[in-house]
Amino acid sequence: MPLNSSCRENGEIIISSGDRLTIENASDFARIIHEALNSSKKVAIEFESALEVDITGLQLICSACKSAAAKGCSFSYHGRMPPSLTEMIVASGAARHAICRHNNDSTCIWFGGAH
Amino acid sequence: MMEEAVATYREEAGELLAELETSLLELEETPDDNDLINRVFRAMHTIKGSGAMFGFDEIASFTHEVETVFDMVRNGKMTVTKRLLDLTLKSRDHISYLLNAPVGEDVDRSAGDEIIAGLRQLLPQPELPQKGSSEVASINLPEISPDELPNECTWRIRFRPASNIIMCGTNPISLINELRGLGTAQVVAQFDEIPQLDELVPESCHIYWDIILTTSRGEDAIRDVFIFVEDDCDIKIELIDSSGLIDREEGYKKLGDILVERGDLSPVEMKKVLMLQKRFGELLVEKGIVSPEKVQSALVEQQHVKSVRKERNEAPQQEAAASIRVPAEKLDQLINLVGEMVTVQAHLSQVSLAGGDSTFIAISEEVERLTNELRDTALNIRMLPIGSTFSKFKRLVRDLSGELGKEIEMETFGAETELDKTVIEKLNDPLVHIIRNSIDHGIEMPEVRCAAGKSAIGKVYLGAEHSGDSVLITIRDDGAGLDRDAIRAKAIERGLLPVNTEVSDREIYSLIFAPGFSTAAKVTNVSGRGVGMDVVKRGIEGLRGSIGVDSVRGSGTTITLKIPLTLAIIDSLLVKIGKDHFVLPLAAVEECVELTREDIKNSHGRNLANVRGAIVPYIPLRQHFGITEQSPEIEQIVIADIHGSKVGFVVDHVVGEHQTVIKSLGKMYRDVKGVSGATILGDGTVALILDMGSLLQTIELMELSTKGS
Repeated sequence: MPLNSSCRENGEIIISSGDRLTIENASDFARIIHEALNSSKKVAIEFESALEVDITGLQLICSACKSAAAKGCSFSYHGRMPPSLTEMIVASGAARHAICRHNNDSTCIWFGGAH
Repeated sequence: MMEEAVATYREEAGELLAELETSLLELEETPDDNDLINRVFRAMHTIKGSGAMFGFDEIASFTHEVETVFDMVRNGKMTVTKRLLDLTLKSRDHISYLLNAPVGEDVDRSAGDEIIAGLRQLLPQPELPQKGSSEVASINLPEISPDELPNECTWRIRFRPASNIIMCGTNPISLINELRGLGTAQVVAQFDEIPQLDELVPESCHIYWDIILTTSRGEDAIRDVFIFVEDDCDIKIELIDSSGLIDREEGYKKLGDILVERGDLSPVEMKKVLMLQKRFGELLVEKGIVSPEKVQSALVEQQHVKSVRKERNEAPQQEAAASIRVPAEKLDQLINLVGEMVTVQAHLSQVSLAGGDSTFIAISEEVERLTNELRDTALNIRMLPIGSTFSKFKRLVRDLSGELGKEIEMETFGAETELDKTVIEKLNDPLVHIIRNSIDHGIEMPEVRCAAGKSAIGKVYLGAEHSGDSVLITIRDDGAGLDRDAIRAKAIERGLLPVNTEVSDREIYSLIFAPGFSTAAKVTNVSGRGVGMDVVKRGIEGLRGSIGVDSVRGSGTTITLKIPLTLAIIDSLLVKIGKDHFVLPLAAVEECVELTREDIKNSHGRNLANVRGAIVPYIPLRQHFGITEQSPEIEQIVIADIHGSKVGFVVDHVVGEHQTVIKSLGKMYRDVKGVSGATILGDGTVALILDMGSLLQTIELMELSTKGS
C-alpha cells in the first residue's frame, strides 16, 4: 500500500503508512503529516501490520506529535500499533510513562504504553 | 590457578580467532561494513589485552601491530583491500600458531616478521615507521588499564550522535544493542531536542540517549562500542557505582525512617504526611526547571543502581555467570554414565515387570521417566551449532580458489543447526574432501564458465538443516557436474560394474566413493588421487550417516549427507533371530510386514516380497548370519529406506522400539561389514547394531562376485 492520505466526512485526515517508515521515505512522510496538520484538527495514521520502521520513523512521530500539540490538533493512530513499531520503541529506549508537556501533560499515546 | 586461567585464555582466544576469520571473510565481501571492521578490531584488541595479562607476550606484541593497522582502517585512514585481508588472515594463522606453541619453547618468528613487514608497507607513508623486521619483537606491550579487570561497575553514558549518523550508514540502535550485550543496561531515548515538523530534518538524528550500564567489561569495552563514531559524536561515560564501593555509600536513612525506627512516628502517619508533599521530580517539572524526560532518565538511573546494589548486597554468591565452561572430557564422561544408566534402567524395567509388584513397577516407571529426561538433557548439552565449522570452509574455498586461479564464492545456510559436538568434529574431514573436489573438479576455470554462458564466479553452497532425528548437510556447486559416461567407463575398467549392466544415475554417481576411484586426467595437489571421496564415505558411514549424489552435466553437483544428531544413544528397533537379538536404527525403518512360508515359496528363491502391490527385495538375515535354528512359521520383514530404495530385512520377531546405547566393537572388529556397533540389553546380553546400508552393499557385492565367477 503506498504512502497516502484521505479525508473523512468528519474532517479527520487518515494517513496510510505504507510498508515503511524509514529514512528513505521520512521526508515524504513528514511533508504529508505537515500538510495534514495544516488542514485538519484531527490527523491519524493507519499502519500496515508489516511495517518496516527505523529510528527516523520514531522521531518523525514525536515531531508530529509536538507540532500537533502546538497547533491544538490531535495526532493519533487507528487500529493496532504494528509489532515492528512496538519493538523499535522498546529497543530504542523510547518507552516511557512520564507525562509529556507537548501532550497537555498527559502520558504519551505513542510511547507511553497505550499500545 | 594460573594454569587454569591460561587454558581458559587459550580456549577463548581460539573462539575469537574463529570469529576473526569469519569476520575477515565476510569483510572481503562487504569491505565497507563498519560493524565487521569493528568486530575484527575488537577481536584483536581482546586477544592482545588478555594475552598480555596471561603472559602471552609474543601474541600481545604481534597482535598489537595488526590491531594498529585496523585502527587506521576504522579511522578511515586506510581502506580494506585484498592484500590487507590476506595478511590479516595470515596473522590469524600466526596467532593460532603462537597460541598453540608449547609454553617456554622458542617460537618461529619469521612468519610473523614477514606479515608485519607486509602490513607496514600498507600503512600510509608519512606514518610508516622505518624499522627493520628484527625490531618487531621490541614493540612496547600495551598497558592493561585497571578498568579492564573484572570488577562490576555501573556507568552513566550519554550518547549524543552526530546529526548525520543515520545518513552515514550507522544505526544508533545497533550501538545501543552492543552496549546491552556488555551487561545490564537501562536505555532512555531523549526526545526534547526533536523539533516540530517545520524545522525537522527527517534524515538527521535529533534523539540522544542516556544509558545506565552495569558491566564487568571496563570503560575500554564501552568506548570500543563507539569506536567508529566517537570522533563525530558526543559521548560522556561516567562511573557512578562500583562493587568496590559496597561499604562506602555516603547516603544514610531518611529522617522519616529514623523517626519510625525510634518509635516517635508510626509508618501510617509518615505515609499520610508524605502524601501531602509532592515528589522532588514533580516539583522540578511543575516549576519548569527540568523536563519530565530528564527526570524520568534520572529516576531510571536511581532505580537501576538501587537494584544493582540490592542484588550485590543480598546475594553476592548468586552472581554466577549465565554460562560456564566445562572440559569436553567431562561431558563425554557424563554421556557415558547416562548411557550406563539407560542400560541399567532397561534391566530394572524388565525385572520389575517380571516381578509383577505394582509398587516396584511404579518406581521403575518413575526411574524410566527421569532417565529419559536426564538422557535428553545430557545429549542436549553437547549440541553445538554447525556454523563454527562453516567458517573454516569459507577460508578453504578462498585459499584454494586463489591457488587454482578460479573465482569461487561460498554461500552457507543453516549455520545455527545444532549437532552433537563429536559429530561436528568428525564431519570436518569428509567436508574438506567434498569441497576440495567441488573446487578442483566441479567448478570450471573462469574462461570455461564464460564460454558456457555461466558467470565467471563459481558458487559453492554449504548448508545444514534438520530432518527428523538427522541433519541434512548439502554441498552444492554450480560447476561442470559429474561425467556419467566417464564414471561408468572407469567403473567397468576397474571391474566395479559388469559390462552391459543398466544401473541408475544415482548408482553410477555413488561409484565415485569407491576406494581409489578417480576419473581425473591429472593429479593435482588438491585432489585427483581417488582417495578423498573414499575418506568421505568411510567418515560418513562411521557416523552412521548416508550420502546422496545428484548431478546435472553442465549445471553442477549436489552431495547430501544425512547425519544422525548424536552418536551416543539412538532410537532403534530391537529384533530377534533365533536366540540372538539385533538392533536396527529406527531412523531408516519404514514398516514391518509378515512373511509366511507360502510367500517365500511363491517368490521362487528370488527373495522378493509383494507389499501392497510393490515388489520389495529382502535379505534373509538368518542365512546371512548363519543361524541354523528352525525359523518360525511367520517371519517379519523390516522394510527400510536405504539411499532412496526400499529393502527388507527378514527377522524372526520384532521385539519393539529400544533406546540403544551404542558401544564400540573395538579395533578387532572394526572392519566387519554390516555391523556398526553393539549394545547391552536389559538382561545383560549383547545385541549387534546393524548398519543396513553397509549390509546391503556387502551382500550386493557378494552376489556380483558370485555371478562373475
